[in-house]
Amino acid sequence: MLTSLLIFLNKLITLACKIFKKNGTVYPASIVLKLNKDILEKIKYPKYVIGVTGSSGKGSTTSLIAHILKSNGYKVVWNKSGSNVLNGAATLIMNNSSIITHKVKADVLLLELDESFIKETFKKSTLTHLVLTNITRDQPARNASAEIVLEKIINSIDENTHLILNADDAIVNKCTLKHKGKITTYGIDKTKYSLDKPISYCLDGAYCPKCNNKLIYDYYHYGHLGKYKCSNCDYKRKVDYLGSKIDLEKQTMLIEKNKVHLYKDVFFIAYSTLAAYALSKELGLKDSDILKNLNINIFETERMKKLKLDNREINMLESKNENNLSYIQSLNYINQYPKNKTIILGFDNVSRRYKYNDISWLYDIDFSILDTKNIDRIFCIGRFRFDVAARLINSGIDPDELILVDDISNIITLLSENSSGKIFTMVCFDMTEILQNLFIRAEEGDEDEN
Amino acid sequence: MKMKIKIAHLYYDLLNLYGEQGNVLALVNAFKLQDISSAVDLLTVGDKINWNKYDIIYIGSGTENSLLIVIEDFKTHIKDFKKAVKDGKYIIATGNSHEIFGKFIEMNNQKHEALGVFDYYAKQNPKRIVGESFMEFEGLSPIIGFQNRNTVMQRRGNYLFSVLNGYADNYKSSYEGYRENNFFGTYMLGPLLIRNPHFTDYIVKSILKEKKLAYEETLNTFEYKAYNEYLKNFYES
Repeated sequence: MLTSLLIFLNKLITLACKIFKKNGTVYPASIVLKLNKDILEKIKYPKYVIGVTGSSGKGSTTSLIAHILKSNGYKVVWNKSGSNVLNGAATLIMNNSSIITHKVKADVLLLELDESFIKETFKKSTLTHLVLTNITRDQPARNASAEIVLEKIINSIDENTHLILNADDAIVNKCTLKHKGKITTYGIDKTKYSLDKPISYCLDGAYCPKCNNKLIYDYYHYGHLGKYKCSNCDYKRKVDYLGSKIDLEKQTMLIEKNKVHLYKDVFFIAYSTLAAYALSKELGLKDSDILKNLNINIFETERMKKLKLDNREINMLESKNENNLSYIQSLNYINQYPKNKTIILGFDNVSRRYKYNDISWLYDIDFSILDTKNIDRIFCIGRFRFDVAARLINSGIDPDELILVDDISNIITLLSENSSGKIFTMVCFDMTEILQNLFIRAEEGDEDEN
Repeated sequence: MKMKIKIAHLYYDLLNLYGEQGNVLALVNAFKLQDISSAVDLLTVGDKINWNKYDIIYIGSGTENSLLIVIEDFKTHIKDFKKAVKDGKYIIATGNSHEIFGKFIEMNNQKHEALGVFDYYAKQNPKRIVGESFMEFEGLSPIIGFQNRNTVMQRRGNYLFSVLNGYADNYKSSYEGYRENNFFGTYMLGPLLIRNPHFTDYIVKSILKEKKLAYEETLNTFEYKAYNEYLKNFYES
């Protein structure tokens, strides 16, 4: 009875949020969980309860899995909004559960899960499958280190959970030593983008988790992801589902022997696609059922409005602060553009979760990989613009290329008067919104004049 | 032949958890401003170290497991390390790395014997200590930085910093870090020397003085601007 009332209350608060145009993806469960913190244990879960976690790539992997499973006739409840902490997951689960039977009304409950909150969300045996994308340096003030994050994940599940692991990540692969349940692995073979050496000093996963000796890498994809084996013991990367022949220009890769479309021209989408493929196969889907939904019935992302300034194209790359690999992927993406370009980067606040302003992560980003040949100017913005400028110069970038923007409201004029080429913004949440509004206003101003 | 500063970045692939190679860059750049070039050697487990060769030794923070790997490897260097400290070699240890030179580190209810060079020890704290800190050092106030650790330190004397605001060695102390001759050990992590160009210049100036070389002050770098901007936004306000 009490469970029914609480589920009803969750639905009622969600409705109220909709009526008053408030964000109701997290708030309802924050109230309900105060009344009964164990409410999620009363829920009757469907046959498949799938979690997707990791430092990055959770959202894209979850979306692809949802796309494949829904297209194959499964009724999937999933957190499309990306609210991946306890209150977000709990709100979603209760909103999709029957008030009478307390059953989740779906064949599959699919959740993108924050790597630090799995234990708070579910009892150990609830997840039938957990996809682990990668564990990299991310929000150190909250997560401390990758090893601590891994311990949290391992301690959140038991042998009833089937793990789907990115074996290219030596930290993630440590689960093979600790997890007692079923494990399936995926990884990517050497590609034309592979590197012989890691691109930065950030050398996570450099030592064997089994015997503490140095790992030997055949190649790296990015960060510490690559093919490795221990210099001393039998610890090595073993892959069940192998991706290969990645071509970002053509947006294709091979999975096993099948040619697969990538919905974006960035490397991490190859990992997301491979993870979604591996999970789908493990759920029993046929190759043809997966491939038709990757190659023909293509997954479409929400497209951001295409912005322009003085007829110059603008590409806004969301780069997560405190996550060096997020920035490195933006740098790689910018490097792929072969013509004249201008870059904007910087931030006012390090995080939106907490007030700490630790900038150590800036020095985990190897800005020296930026190919400056076609870069006209780099604009440093925000309260930390001098820190960003110092970092760029420390990476070997010519100080004359930098323009420090003291007042962000002047950036449109500064861009028009002092720079040329396609504009790439490489900023986090706060600055994306500010810049987007300034670009839209400038464009609307131009239209009015015309 | 023109003089070159030689820097050893110890355990660069194990103790470099928070962008700490930035500290080596800070030193290289600060000497470059004095028209002096530097050579940096990246050293790790199993490497032989010629301690006499280096003007500065740098070591950053690591995970608990990494600290234990390093303690094991460093045992072969204890004698040379003690001599280096006694001789006044510049050794900078940021984050939790200075814990390895103490008597022991207690983690997860296990007492791990450390190198026993200095008379202090670290014990696990029930809660992680995370946050900004502002320190006083020989009139160079404030030194700004960040801490993120799960241990508290017990020691008597030879403190490096007085705490102006933020976290001390432990909850009863108002001091943080350890100094013996030119060994500087602090829980402040990340690119501390980038963020505190005045502290970096203090070290550079001291080394140049010992080498009887002139030091020229340069205060208009982006590092100084960043430092002043940070104080304006987060310390003075």
